[in-house]
Amino acid sequence: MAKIINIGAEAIVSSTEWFGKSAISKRRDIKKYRHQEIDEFIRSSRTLKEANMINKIREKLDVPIIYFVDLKKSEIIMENVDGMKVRDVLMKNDSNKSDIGKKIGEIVAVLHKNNTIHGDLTTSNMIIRDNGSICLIDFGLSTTSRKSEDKGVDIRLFKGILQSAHHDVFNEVFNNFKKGYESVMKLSSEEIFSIVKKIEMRGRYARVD
Amino acid sequence: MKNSQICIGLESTAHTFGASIVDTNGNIFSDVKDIYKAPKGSGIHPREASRHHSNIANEVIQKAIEQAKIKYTELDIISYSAGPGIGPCLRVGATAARALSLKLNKPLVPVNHAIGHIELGCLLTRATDPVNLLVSGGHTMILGFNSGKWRVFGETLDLTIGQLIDQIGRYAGYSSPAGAIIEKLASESENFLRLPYSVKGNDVSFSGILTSVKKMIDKGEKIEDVCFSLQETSYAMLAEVTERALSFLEKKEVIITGGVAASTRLKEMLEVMCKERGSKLSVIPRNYAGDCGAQIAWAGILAYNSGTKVSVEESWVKQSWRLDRVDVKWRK
Repeated sequence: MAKIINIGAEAIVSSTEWFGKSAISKRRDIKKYRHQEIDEFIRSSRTLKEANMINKIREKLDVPIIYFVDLKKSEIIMENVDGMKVRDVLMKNDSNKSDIGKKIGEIVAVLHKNNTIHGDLTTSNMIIRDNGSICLIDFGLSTTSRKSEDKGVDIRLFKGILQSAHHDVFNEVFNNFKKGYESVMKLSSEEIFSIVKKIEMRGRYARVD
Repeated sequence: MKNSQICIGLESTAHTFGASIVDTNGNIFSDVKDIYKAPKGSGIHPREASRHHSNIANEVIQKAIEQAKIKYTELDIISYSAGPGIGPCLRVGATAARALSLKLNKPLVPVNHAIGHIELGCLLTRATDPVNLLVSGGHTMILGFNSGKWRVFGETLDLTIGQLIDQIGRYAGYSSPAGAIIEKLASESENFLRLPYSVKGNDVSFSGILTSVKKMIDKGEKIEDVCFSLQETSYAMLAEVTERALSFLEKKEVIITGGVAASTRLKEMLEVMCKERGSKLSVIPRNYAGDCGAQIAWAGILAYNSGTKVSVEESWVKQSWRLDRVDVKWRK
């Protein structure tokens, strides 16, 4: 029997089996609050986007293995990634925050080097496996782009979630994120971080220190 | 012997000049306002709005005192909206507050307008630890309280929802604020036209909708259909990012505050979303949704009781004063 693991904002994640292997099902159910036309468009386009993007990037990064996609049901059957969300790890006292920050920086840089924009780089979309590798999930909002602006928007989102949800460890994590990102992106990282500042300045009533 | 203190709150960030008398137990004794009306088809003119405020300030304050059935000398705290907002407008409220503070020799408290929206909402709905969807002409933010501050989990990357609605209203020839007329027109249609749906992680962007809607109006699409599609698309985006914050923060309560909280359709969508998640939705009562003195008076009381005050000489206004900069000492 499928057991619901998590009711996310977008999808219901439950445990299942795929040819004898333990797997998870991620199903984007109908949202009754929104107009049917918007609902259908969002569910099918994001499901397709997620599956395609994961397949595209899987040779370069740790992402879940996809077993099966059912567009009609907006469902993806994929690998059950064992581990803890970065969100929960950062909230614990004993974790190595600088190491996690650096690793995430490297991961995001690999994405951006391949002109992939994740679109939702929040700490609940990163799972630390038992072997220490960080698996990036939830590519439903991802896009392909060469533009530094889009890469900047991606990083700003991550920075924003650190500032709001992980305020106490923000400096440690973000400084190391920068180091990790720079080590992979080299020269172009400078331009991208200056764009992050510009995007922040566009915020309502913003005054960036 | 009275065991509560009485605060007057002066609101003057944008089109509204408001004055309200509230006590430390959260009783609102009066809430008077006068709204600057821009000519049809145009937005708030800062100079004209501030002139309006200076002309009616005296009268509004006087009415607030009379309706509360108190004397000026019974006031214990003077609070004013110090930002964020339109400079010339903010200065009118601040000037009036300074005068009251000097004359009555009572403490002066600068209040962040957005914090006022949230805290008044929590007072009136008894929401304790909600995800807050703050939607107005000045703000579109999804907030949660975390270690000493109201923190921004998502926000608009360009226009606010209030600006989007008002700009479209003005483009179609209605006067601002246009929320009520757009809602009425929308209720007369069920014909959905596709508009750009732009959710970027926890953030939203409305500029694409504005451009597309203007084109639709130019093309002669039925205004009812346009308004219907505008509401369906933009409110669905807001519902989605609110749900994202609920899920991420693992909270069980949502509150809608700000002027756009008066929208029936927005409330409806969030109600369905919350119900499906087993969460509770609160909405600030319609008469306190828009800018008002009560939000400033109540936030002024909270701030004063946790040690905030300023001398007349050092008092200030700030056009840009983000709410996530404010130390919220009264919340744990």
